Amino acid sequence: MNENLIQIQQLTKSFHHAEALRGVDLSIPAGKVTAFLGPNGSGKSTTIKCSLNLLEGDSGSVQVLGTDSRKLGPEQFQKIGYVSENQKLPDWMTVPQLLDYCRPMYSDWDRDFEKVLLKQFELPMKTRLKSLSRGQRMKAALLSSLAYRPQLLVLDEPFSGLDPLVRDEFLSGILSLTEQEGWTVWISSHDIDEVEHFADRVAIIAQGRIDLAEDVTELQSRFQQIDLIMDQEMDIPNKLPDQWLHTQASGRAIRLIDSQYSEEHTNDLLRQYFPQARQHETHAMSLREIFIALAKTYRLNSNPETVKA
Amino acid sequence: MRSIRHLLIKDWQKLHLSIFIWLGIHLVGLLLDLNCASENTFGEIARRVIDIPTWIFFVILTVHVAGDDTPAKRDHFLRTRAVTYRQLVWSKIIFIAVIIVTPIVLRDAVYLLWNELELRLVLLGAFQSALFIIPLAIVLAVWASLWNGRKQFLFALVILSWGSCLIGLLVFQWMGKRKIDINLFENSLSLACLFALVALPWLSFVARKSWYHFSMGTKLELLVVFICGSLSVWIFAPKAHIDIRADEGWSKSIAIEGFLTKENSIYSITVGRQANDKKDERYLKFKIHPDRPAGLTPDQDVFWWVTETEFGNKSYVGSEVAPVDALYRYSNSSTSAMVKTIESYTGKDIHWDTGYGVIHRNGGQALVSDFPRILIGSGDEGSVALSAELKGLVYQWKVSADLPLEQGQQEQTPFGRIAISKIESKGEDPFVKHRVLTFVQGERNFWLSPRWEDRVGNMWPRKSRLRYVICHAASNRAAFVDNNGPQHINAELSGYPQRKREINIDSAFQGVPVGELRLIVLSPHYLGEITRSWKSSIEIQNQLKPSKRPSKAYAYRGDKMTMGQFALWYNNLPQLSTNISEEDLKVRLSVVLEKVSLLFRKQRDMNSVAKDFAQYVPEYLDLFLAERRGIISDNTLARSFMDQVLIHGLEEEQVEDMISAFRRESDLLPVLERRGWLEQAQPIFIEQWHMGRRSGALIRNMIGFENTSVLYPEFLAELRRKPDLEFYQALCAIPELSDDLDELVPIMLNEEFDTSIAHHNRDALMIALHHGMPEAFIKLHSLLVALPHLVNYDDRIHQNIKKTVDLSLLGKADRSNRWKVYQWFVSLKPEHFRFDPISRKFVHSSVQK
Repeated sequence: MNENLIQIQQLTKSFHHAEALRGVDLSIPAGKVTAFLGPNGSGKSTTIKCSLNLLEGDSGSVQVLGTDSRKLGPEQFQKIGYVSENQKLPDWMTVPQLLDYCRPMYSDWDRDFEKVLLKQFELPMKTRLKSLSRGQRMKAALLSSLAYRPQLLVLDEPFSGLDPLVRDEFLSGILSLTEQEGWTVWISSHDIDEVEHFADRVAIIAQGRIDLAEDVTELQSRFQQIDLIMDQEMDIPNKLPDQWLHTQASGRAIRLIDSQYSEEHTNDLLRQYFPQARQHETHAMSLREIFIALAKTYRLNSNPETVKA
Repeated sequence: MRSIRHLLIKDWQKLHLSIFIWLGIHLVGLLLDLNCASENTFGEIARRVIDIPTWIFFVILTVHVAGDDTPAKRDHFLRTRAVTYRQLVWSKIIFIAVIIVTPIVLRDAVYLLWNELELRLVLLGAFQSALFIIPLAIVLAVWASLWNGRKQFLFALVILSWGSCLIGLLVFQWMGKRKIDINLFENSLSLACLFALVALPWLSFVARKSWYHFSMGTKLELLVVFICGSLSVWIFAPKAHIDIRADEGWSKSIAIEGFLTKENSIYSITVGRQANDKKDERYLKFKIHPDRPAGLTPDQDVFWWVTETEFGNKSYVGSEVAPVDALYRYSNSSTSAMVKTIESYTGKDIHWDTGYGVIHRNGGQALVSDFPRILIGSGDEGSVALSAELKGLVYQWKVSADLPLEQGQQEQTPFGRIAISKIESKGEDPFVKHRVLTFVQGERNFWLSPRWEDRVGNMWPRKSRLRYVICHAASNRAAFVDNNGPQHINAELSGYPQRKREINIDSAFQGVPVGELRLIVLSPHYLGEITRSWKSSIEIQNQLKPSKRPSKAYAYRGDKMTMGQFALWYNNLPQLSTNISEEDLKVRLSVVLEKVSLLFRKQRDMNSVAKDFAQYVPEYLDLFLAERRGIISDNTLARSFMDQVLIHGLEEEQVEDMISAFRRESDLLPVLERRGWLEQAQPIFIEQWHMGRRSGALIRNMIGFENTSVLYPEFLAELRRKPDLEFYQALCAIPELSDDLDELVPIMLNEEFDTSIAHHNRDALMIALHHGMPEAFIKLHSLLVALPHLVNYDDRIHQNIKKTVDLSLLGKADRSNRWKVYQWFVSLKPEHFRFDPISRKFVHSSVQK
């Protein structure tokens, strides 16, 4: 399960001289849920559309399931499920009609699984899609994309516009199935809270470039927030290690974020730079906190590679 | 196949309601076609109304189906589904073929079957119908599938339509100026556009990209393909065009692009020329194939005499036309005809060898653009006209006010035997009289109902650009207005009436009481009906701006024509002049005068008005016709206006041209004299003379005036002062000056003549001789031969004189003239020539040396 179902290399794409993607390098490993994060307009949807041949990249290459994305055909789409916030559904259909419509297209369509999903998603059966709520429409789209047990599930901003309750339902549905089936999920979002609970891996894109792509566990173990209590009030030293981010002082308390946390090495550094420290506490960081810290750092430091290193 | 069927079912499910309506429309339309006779007003209206939803649903269904799952839509549901592109396209093709095209073709086929036509003809008709509808559906579908959304599609369609119209207008404007055959160009352009519309989307489909995704290089490639394709269509499209070459004696090309012909018979057309005593005549000879239609003799050749002017005007008016009599009516709402188009042309023969065509419903919408339109008109005074328009050429049969419209009357026409089977009159609208004409074709009768609306809406040729029909219900009067101006219903009912450049309703309804006025507007841009109270015509008139689109008639009858050309043209219109009733002429006269009054309102200056009016050349026709019939003689305004136009409105050369042209036509001289134009023009000429103008043309125009004789001494003095050969020639036509001119010969001989003048007059000599003017010949010749330097140094003059005299003596000239020439020649200059009695030719003395 270590192979990459999607391998993107130096992908670029421009729209009327506006660079949307500036050499994106990204891999989506099999069997994991990869969250694709980034602010609005950072290039998430463009990357996904180029990967699924909905758009043609200007340069670079994208391999999806071992096939060049520009040659994706029915054979590959038998194994790919795609749900997008912008996807146009046949609105005049009811959910059963939609399923009837999609069923003959897939040789691996699982009727039993379809029934399970139908029951799980609790979708109305006699209402046309255009009359359903946004959450229900997304569920219906997801249903039509899951029933054939796709090897790769691509979700492009599936949560936008959904209320928290529906979002949780939607997420729980995906997570439970992902757990069961061992699917590969590539989910894009601009809201890190949506994905931090279930993402195995996170990729952050900003201004058309991938800033970070790492497993969540590794990331969270690497980033730690450290609070120091000093004997007396003191100024922050001018020179601090590069791996410490956002060092702040407030009275006798100093807070910093260590982006390369290692208990022994970090303690050594603390003793070296803050010998007056009476005690220190280490806190694990949420994905959101890490994301914000990195974003601030990038804003201050034009070269984020130093942080990654 | 399973996926295709699945996709088809999906489309069916989505559009089933529209499809049911679509099929229902065709069913209703077919029932109406089969069951409602043409005299049934409700049936007529219903048939026309049913066509509107038919075409609306045709567009809706096609656009929906093709644009629904197009790959051009980036986020479409099927873009990431396991469906092959080929399956998708096939499902769309099958849907369009089965659901959209088949009902239309079937409807036509059933109708043809119902009319008891042969199976072969039914199949051909269905084939023609498919030929029309399939490209249309494909183009629409492919075009719709190019766009990401329907908004873009509609936007592109609007842009394309407007762009095409604009380009088309510019092209036609240009062609009108260049006098290019608009019809041929128009059709070729249509084909080219069709090609472009089909080819470009298909290429994009092949590339599996939407238009948005094309790179600039690809777009340029497509542009090249488009241009090449258009050119190839232009070049290789079946040319139904006869170019009559110069060696045939034709200076203009004509286009005969189809002709009514009888089923199972083949005709050949020969374009010929025959000279007789008076004039050259050109003819089209229609030869009937041995498998001739019944009723015609085996070797009967039908000659259709035409004049060059008629060719030039593209208006074939003849007493006889080829005896084509196959006229079928496939639809109750329009006429149809068996048509064979020309496919090959070798030498002078044109072979009719392709299949049959069917004129589609709604008259103007032929299945293919080559098909003729039949015009059948009947006036409320009993006139009947039949004509067929083939590619813009109007083949007229008859415009007769004599044909009785009594029930039961029959008349053989070139298009078949016409019988007046019924005359109905509607009480509510007395204008709409149903004269049901029946074309008798074998045992089958075909109904034609030349109601006003029918003729206007369905049978009037598109090319005539009829724009408005004005019906005055209360007074039972009506007029139609086209680019040629307003015409009464009593006027010609077919063909092209004279051109008018402004529309005037006032005159057309002069004396009509206030009441309801209906304007049926038939414009390419607007189709509708305006009903308003008849209060002031000015308000309405402002809405009726004449089209600026140039027409063929404009090219030939426009204001580019000089007055001399106009006079000749006028003289070549005996058909027109004899067919116009006095009543019509009076109406026309009132139109002209109304126009004059309008001009007066604008300018209030007779001189300016006259100058403006002088540009409206065709209007003179009305005045002249009225003058010829004596109608104008008691109209003071008309007389005074014509005087003003003549005196002030025309340039000097125009006056001269006109009077010269009228002088050449002896039957017009009485008109000139009665009008007193010569007397009125004389002061102008005398004034010009006193102002120093010295030209032969001026002298010729002054000849015959009583007061001119007082100027003879001045003429002679002028000639003595400045010897001029042209001036001398002009004076030669004055008998009183004969002796004086002879005396002047020595003076002329002492002067140096330009050799080029001599050359010029060499031709004049031959012309003079051939036209039986030996005196003029002798006088001119004596001048030339007597000039030593010309005689000695320009042998070509000698040769030419010798040839001229030889021709004269060998019988090309009149016997008495021959003798005069001989006498003169031998007596005057024997030293230059010697007459050889054996060869009966003169031999130049230099040869003897």
